[in-house]
Amino acid sequence: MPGRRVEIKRKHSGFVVPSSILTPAKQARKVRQRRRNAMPFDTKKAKFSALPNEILLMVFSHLDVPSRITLGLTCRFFAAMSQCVPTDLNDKPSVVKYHAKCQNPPCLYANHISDRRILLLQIKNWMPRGYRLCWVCLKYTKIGRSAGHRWHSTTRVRFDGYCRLNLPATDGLREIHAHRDCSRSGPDLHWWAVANPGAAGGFIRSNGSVTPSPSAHIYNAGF
Amino acid sequence: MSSSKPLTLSSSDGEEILVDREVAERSILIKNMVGDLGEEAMEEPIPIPNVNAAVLKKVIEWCIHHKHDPPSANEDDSDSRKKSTDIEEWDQKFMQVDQEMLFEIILAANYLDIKALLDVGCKTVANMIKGKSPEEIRKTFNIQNDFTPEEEDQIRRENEWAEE
Repeated sequence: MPGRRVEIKRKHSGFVVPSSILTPAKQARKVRQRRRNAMPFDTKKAKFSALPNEILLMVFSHLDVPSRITLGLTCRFFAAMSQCVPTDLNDKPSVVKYHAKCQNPPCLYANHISDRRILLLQIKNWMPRGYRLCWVCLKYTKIGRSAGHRWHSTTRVRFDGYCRLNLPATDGLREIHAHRDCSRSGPDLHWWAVANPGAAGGFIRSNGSVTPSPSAHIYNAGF
Repeated sequence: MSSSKPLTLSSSDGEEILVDREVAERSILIKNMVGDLGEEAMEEPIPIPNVNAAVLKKVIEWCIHHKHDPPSANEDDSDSRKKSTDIEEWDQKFMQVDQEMLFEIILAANYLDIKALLDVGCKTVANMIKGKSPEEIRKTFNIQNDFTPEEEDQIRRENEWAEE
């Protein structure tokens, strides 16, 4: 029997920056004015954040949701900007494209881990030291004896070869963990991940090429 | 044929660049200018005050390569997101420039209203961000972290990414 599963209820569906952190409206007007007056762009000091807002929003529109959020975590300015674009995270499988560089389409598509898992892997280094991601309840938790959590792990959920996602966050990922409260054992965690859409993926696990929905962001396996 | 008559573009630093009209008209700004002012006005150099010669030459190089492309259709947002990682191989090589030049090309494409080039530029920047951690993005674009550790902690708590 698999370990206890906790029904996860979330406060927000998307990325939320507390209003106390964002620039107050009065100050924001000044910042906007300063940016407007700074145009035309000073090419001698080319800086990403100095590009006009409409261009930055275009860049945001080309990003997958986890990357929109990680960009929003770099500084206050991008945090405020990330609140103007959709950042709703889901736990559904993402879609990854294989044979992207192949000269003879059609490409093959497979399901992979969810956007929420991709984000949590991307922000691993942004989390305080000594925290570990539980693959089941999707929260970083303090490790160490004093923290009181015990863990199971597995190396059988793969992110290489035909399970590749071609993201720096998944390169070199060899092991996933889960609280003992969330998973009964390492093998149980592996089977849970394989059985649950969005917890594992790649072409090797697929029953064939999936058809991506028109609105889906397509990740690239890199070959 | 009159449509093949070259135009002279004058960059912000005063350099005059001769370019085929077909190539120059990849820019909607120039195309409208030619349409509005008429053939005769085009005997004079067309001032491009926001773009220097080095950038203008790069933009013209892109326009020459893409001169036979069909005019870009108005893609809806979801469609453009789906294609977000797809950049043609030639365009990828074309965009292998330093960040300063990349941003200048994007700004020039925006000013000259060359949607396809603007898209390629924005996609190139997006690809430099994708999959990276906040710290890696900061390093890539020289962004200063102006959050305090307490604020970062507040964000973690608000978004339920961590627990004790």
